[in-house]
Amino acid sequence: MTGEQPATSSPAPAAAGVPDRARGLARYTADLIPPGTVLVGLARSPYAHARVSSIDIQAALKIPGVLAALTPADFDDIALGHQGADEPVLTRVARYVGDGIVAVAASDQDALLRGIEALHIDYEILPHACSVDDALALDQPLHPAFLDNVARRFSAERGDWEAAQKRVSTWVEGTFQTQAVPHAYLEPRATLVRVYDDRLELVTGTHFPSVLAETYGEIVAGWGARLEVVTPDIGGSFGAKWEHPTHLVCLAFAHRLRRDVAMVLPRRDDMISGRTRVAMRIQMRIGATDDGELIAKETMIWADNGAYTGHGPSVTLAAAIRMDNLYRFSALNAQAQLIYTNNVPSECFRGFGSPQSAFAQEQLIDELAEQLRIDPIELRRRNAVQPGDTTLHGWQVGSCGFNDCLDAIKDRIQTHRRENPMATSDRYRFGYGIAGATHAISNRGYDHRFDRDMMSLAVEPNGVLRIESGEVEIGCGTVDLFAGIVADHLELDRERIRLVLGDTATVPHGLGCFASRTAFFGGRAALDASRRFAQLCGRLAIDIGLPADTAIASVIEAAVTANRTMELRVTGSYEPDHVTVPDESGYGNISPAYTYATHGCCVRVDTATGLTTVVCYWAAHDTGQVLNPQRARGQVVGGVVQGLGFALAETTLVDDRGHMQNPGYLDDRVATFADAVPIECIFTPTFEKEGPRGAKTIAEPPIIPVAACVANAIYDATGARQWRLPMTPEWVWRSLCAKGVLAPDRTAD
Amino acid sequence: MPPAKSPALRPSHLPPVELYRPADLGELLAHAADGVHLLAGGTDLVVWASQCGEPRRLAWIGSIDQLQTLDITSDRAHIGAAVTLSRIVRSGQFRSLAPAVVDGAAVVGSVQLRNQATLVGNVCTASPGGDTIPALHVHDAALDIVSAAGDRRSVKISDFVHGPGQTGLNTGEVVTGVTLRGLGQREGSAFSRFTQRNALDLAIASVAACLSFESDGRTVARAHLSMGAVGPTVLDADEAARSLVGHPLEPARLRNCADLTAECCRPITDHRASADYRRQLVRTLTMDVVDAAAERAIPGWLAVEAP
Ligand SMILES: Cc1cc2nc3c(=O)[nH]c(=O)nc-3n(C[C@H](O)[C@H](O)[C@H](O)COP(=O)(O)OP(=O)(O)OC[C@H]3O[C@@H](n4cnc5c(N)ncnc54)[C@H](O)[C@@H]3O)c2cc1C
Repeated sequence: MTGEQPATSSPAPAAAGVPDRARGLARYTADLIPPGTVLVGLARSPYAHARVSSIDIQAALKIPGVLAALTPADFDDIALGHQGADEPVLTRVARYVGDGIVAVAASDQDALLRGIEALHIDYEILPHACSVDDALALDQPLHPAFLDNVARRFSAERGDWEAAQKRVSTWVEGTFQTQAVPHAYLEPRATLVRVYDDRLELVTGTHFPSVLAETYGEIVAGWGARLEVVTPDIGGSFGAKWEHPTHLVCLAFAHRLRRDVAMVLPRRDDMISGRTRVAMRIQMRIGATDDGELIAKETMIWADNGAYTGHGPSVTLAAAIRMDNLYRFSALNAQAQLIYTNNVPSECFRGFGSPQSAFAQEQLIDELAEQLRIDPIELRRRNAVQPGDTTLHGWQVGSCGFNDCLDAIKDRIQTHRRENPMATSDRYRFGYGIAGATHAISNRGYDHRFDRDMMSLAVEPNGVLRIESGEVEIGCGTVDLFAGIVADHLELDRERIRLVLGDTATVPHGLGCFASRTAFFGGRAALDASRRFAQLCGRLAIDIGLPADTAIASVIEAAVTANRTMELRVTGSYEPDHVTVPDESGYGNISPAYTYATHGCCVRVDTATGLTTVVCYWAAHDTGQVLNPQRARGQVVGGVVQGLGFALAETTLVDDRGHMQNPGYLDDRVATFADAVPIECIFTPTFEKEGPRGAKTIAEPPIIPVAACVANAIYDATGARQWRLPMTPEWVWRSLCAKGVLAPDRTAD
Repeated sequence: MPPAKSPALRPSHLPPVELYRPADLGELLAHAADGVHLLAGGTDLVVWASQCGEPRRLAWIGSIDQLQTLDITSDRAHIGAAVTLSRIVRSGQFRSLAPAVVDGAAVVGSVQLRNQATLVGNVCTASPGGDTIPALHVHDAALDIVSAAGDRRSVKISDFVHGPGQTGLNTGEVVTGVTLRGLGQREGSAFSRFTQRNALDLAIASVAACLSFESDGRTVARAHLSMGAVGPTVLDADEAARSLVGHPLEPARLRNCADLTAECCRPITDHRASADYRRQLVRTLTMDVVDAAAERAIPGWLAVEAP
């Protein structure tokens, strides 16, 4: 077992997740490292692309306190990556600045740093490429099996393109560039490995302990060891914390040294070797008829995979096609390529590829509206997807409240305009913007075997009901919902329910907390388990001589008295039956339900500095029935603020040698509290019959439309279209200069 | 070249440090003479120590009462070396004496940071973008310095800072505080910086202005302009300031003055901003702070309508 460390969240309802964190009571991986634990560090490549020609660890091993070193040879036949196993644990060819070459274990931090400094590594420098264009032009493959540096190609053609084209009277087009941003979680990557003879216990924050246990389990089985994964409180991830080389380095040291080992990345290391959102160049064209019927859309994407493949392939495919499902197009053509570069490996990030593609699509829809002289909300409304539709990509739309979202935003903007006549001056310009979004709940294509969640309920000898789930509390408060659903359904006191999470030794399989799936899948599994449990209680009641409809709480009490609590144990599950594994082009009903949103905002642009200030923000979401309004609002506000960082400030800057120039939160300008803006959250509830109690999910969608929404508002204010993210003051100022928007003349002579 | 020796790739980690807590100035001077590094709020020093692994011997000035004083008279202020930015921001008396310095102090980092960081630490760090420095320029501030031997000297702020991270402090010397000139009649000062984020950010450009008017309440009698983050040190824009003197502050004159500051600054292009954007910011900030300083000098005076 896990020893004294809690893999379990506290029993009190209010204490699960958020309030604990707010009170500083959460215990993250780094808090669980006892003194005396062996510390691990990496020697990282200073070159973006280089072959390691020799490694000498002897001098390092002589430093007092240095215990061992591992080199690429220790991991020769292991490559990580779910969607393209191409990332070595330690590498013989450095493919980005920060790539790990040699790992050192030491008894203290000073010895560790001295040990790393004493390593002798020689490199043969190779030509590198830090942009997709350079990579396509590079006559040297970054990975031998991919001669043209294209890791993956996607193509999706739907409808009758020729016929559709003929109906188009107006085309709008543009090329948009989105940037790589780090996930900016507060808890840097941290790993602790505890050793119990041949059993290794990996303690780390992750989206999916069950999958880690499966993936690493096979590897450590080759060393003659067994593995369990424990996930304690997680200080954020947003799509970053999956498999990582540092896990295996720690597992290997622990196994060799037979000692507990730990590694907590300093912020800068975390950022240079962490993951980023997939940067994309998106070339897009949308055609419509004169009366505003959207007909055809063509998309070309060049996506920057970085050095290794995380979830880049599914992110790229999502960017290529998902946002198409928001409107009733007649024909679609999407081509995308995912290209290896010498940048930090990319990953999925809240919203998957949709914040990227929404930035392009929702600006072009506005362009169309302007050209066709139709109100942008009206244009969207006329073409909005409707309940019961099957989209060109095979999505079977159940509940859909996109129209309601559009109406709500229209109403807010009209009211705001009326009540706040804007003091537009030469210097300050005001404008309004909107953008729509859609998202899936989980993705049947993620694990080809199944898309499922399980939950067990068991009564402890004292009558407490224990919920066991393979899902983790990633910071949204989602799993607390499970307890709420069970308590409500069984009419039990929430105080008498205990949640056990994230310890693969004791909980049933969970696919993971990602893709906005947890509340939906876990919630349905909770309902299923509750129903089964109620049946069991009914049978036990009769057996004990109570009426079959005795309250569950009383049956549990009777079971305690009769010493028969061990009979009250069930496992429930949820696996939607109307979803399909998508084909290579992404066609298929990938999700049991779909969510919709429209955002609106009012901005003020300072034409003298290019600074965009968001005056007011409205976020309308169709998330089905809202199960917990406070938490749902928290997700929306968080998503919008995170989206504003993506829209206006955040980026990774790389110099011409491939060194990241802003590996910290000073120059990766994540929004702070002082940057938060007034946000109104509007829920336009539908009832999703597939969802738990009519609910869908919130999680990712709030970030998707933000950049597009702000870009449209900047355009409305200034007439300068924004083709590039982030829309920093300097870039906006340049776009104003290019447009001839006169800036600093504040008064006439 | 072994990677770990490249300082950019050294994992940041605060090494064990020897920390002294001298009780008086004499003890502090003895430590300084011994090569021990001075620690005030530590908001710069601890960051460097984590990144570079040194210095490892530190003497904390915070327990020396003498350095905690914030002395304010009718025409001058003395800020002890251990006085935090928060104390400065909270003092109403200080605000009326040197509003530009408060403007600068109030935007440093965040609340938590300002509770810890000192004004003197900000000056000694000698960053071209140090947010209190331009305002100290326009308030004719001087640093009070004492040597190991007990010799005292006073150095004008513009002579004290030599370059990024470089000051005129000799080994063993300690800054005991800063003395500055308070506003006189019909005089106002202001500071403004441009950042991309509303907290925890560094200036891409900043400007401070101090302006006094003749008794007619219109003609500029004296002007001092100073610019941050657009040169190796904070720079005085003397010609631009002179262009205002002897004339009423009319829009065309103000614009011309702003153009002059933009011309005389020496910005670089780096990952934070390009040189020409920094010039544009200096131009805009100049207009903003001259406006604000004039408004403080003659309340109700406004060259242009407020945004
Ligand atoms: C998150 C963060 C945000 C920041 N934001 C800003 C910002 O917005 N604007 C800005 O200007 N700065 C900013 N800084 C930098 C820093 O906070 C300021 O420069 C601060 O004023 C330094 O003061 P301190 O008391 O912490 O100095 P310390 O770190 O203690 O010392 C700084 C230097 O001064 C020397 N020193 C201190 N006292 C004396 C003395 N009496 N005599 C001689 N030498 C002395 C020290 O030896 C050291 O070299 C930020 C720093 C951080 C970490």
